[in-house]
Amino acid sequence: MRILIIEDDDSVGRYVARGLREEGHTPELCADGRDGLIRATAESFDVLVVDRMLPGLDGLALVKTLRAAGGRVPVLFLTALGDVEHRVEGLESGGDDYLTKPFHFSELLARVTALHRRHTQDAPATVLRVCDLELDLLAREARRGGRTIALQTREFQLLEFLMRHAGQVVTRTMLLERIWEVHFDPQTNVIDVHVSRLRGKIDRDFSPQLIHTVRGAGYVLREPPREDA
Amino acid sequence: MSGRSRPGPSFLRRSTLRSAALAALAVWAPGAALLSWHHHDWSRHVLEEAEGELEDLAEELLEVARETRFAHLEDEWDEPLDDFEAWEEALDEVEVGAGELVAAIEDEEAIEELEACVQVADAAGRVLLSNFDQVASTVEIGRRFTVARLTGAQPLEDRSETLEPWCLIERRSLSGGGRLLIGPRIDERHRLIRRSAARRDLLLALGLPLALAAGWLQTRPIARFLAALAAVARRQERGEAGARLELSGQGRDLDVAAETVNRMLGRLEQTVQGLSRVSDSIAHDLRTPLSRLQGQLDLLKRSSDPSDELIEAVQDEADQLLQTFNALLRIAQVESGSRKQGFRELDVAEIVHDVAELYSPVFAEKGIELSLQVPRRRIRGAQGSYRGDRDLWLQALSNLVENALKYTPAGGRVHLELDDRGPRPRIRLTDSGPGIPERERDNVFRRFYRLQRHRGERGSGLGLSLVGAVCDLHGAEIRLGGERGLVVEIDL
Repeated sequence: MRILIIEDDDSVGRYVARGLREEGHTPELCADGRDGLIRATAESFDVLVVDRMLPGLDGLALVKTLRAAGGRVPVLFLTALGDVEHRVEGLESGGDDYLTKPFHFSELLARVTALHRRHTQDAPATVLRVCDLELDLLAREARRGGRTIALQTREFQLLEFLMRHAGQVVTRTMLLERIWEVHFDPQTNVIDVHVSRLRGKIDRDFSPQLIHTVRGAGYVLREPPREDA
Repeated sequence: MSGRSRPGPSFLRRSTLRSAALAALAVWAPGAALLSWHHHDWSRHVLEEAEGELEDLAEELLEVARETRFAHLEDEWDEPLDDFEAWEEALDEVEVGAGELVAAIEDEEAIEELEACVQVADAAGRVLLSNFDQVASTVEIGRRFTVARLTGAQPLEDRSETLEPWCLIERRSLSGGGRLLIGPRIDERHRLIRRSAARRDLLLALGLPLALAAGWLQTRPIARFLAALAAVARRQERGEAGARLELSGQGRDLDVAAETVNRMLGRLEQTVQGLSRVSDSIAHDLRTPLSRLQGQLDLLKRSSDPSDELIEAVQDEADQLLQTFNALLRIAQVESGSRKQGFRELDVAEIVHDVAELYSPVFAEKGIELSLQVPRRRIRGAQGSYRGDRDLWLQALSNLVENALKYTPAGGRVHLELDDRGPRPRIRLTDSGPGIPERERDNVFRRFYRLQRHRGERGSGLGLSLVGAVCDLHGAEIRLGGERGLVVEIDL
């Protein structure tokens, strides 16, 4: 992915750029709002990572201008301001996701990947499929190995999210935010327990295992690579 | 602030005196203007009337003299005039001299009886006829009227008191150089005018100091209040956090203002104390984990091949610290009231339900029975639906549920219920854990407070502080109770 990082804090910018490069992406760094806007409109990027507080042109204004000019590249906001209002403000200005500092790089990576995937998704499907696991979005039921598996509402939403982001790392924070609309960090490992329960229903008695834990990051749902001999 | 030893009281007094003076003038000036104008108007009217009388008098006198003279002149004409108009014209043009005037006024006694002053003098200045001795003094009034005080004039009839003889006086020249002084007596009228003027002057003179005094008396309490306010502010500046305004028990408005200021100062003192408490707590409670972190980083530095576990342990420690700081920040935000801006309509039932649903698998895993009782309908308060911050309530309830999770042993029971039968909707969380001893129930809401038996445990120690702050912000009442286990009740 080509990613433009517009961030005036040098250490954060370089840290993120290096991490992305190590993951095989092509990051570009920019420290000023106006320059960032020019580059974002002139060149084509897959995702923009924009700090809210920028010299020259404020992050929100930058994205608003970009959207007004027809730019549809997905935008992830970075900021130290984490309240509901600021989050809503960011999303209303045209941002697609919002991450508060300080953050773990894996969190940022997961979200950037998710944004990119969302952006390039095909026409909305009614059935999600990974391997032999099927999720029927109309009938609201899961099927695997010919069996229909009953899921509670949240379990369904959890599985849907994992399947829509199949192959991508999904962080616990993302799950909390998207599925439970919780914007704080619980002390207990609630998400782990929910995922564990889901696994019990759709993974444990089946093969291959689709839901994997990624240490230090989150979870990923994917068909494991076949290891031949 | 340097160089001015005591700018307070005297400066304030001056400015309030200024405003008192202005107010007094504003009240006094229209009254003064009205009084003066009225007096002027009235006295002029009186004198105008007298002037009218003077005209009539003069005409009378002169006409008689004219007619006499005319008659003499007529005798000398060869032919008499036929035309009445011509005759009148001729009559009017007759000029009369002093001697002739005197001759015409046949009856000297009649002059004495006139309520007027009359004096005829010839060209040489010799007085030929007069009903008074002389003019003692004259006063010009408004460049139009001249009034004169007489000597040797007859007192007017039918007057009970003795009045000074005054008349409105006019001088007319007669042909041949003589002059006529004439005018109506205005003894009484003059006295009235003088009295009116005296009253006006008295009222004006008295009114001004009275108004000033009243104004000053009115502003005195305000001036004192301002001075007291300045004094308290100075004391606060010097660090006296306990300095307050004294309530005088005088004007109600000022006391209300003083009370409000005192309350604000009280809150300020609380905040400052709270802040110093917090910084003490932070220093105290975070020193240990920070040192631990430092130790681990040191280990990391010295290890030639740092294991993933070690790195993760360090990251965990840092995360934990971060969480603590985030929690502190959130509590501070909530306590400062700034989150009120984010208030929206709340579905309380949904929030309770969501929290329960979020944690239910964790309860299941730990072997604790979680029962939920939440009505399906929307909860409404006295003034319609509740307003608040969904995020904060989710977090507060999560903190409570997590505490229940932490302290209830396996096999225990936790019950979460939303009860809207009473006057205020009540969220009740009951657990079968050890509960909180009664004497510690007030303390647990303090930041970083840990029950004796829980010291040294992980967790930030801020969970209940946040719950308390969220309740305060929303005007909810929280109570801790229970004999076996803990019952937490929140009335919205």
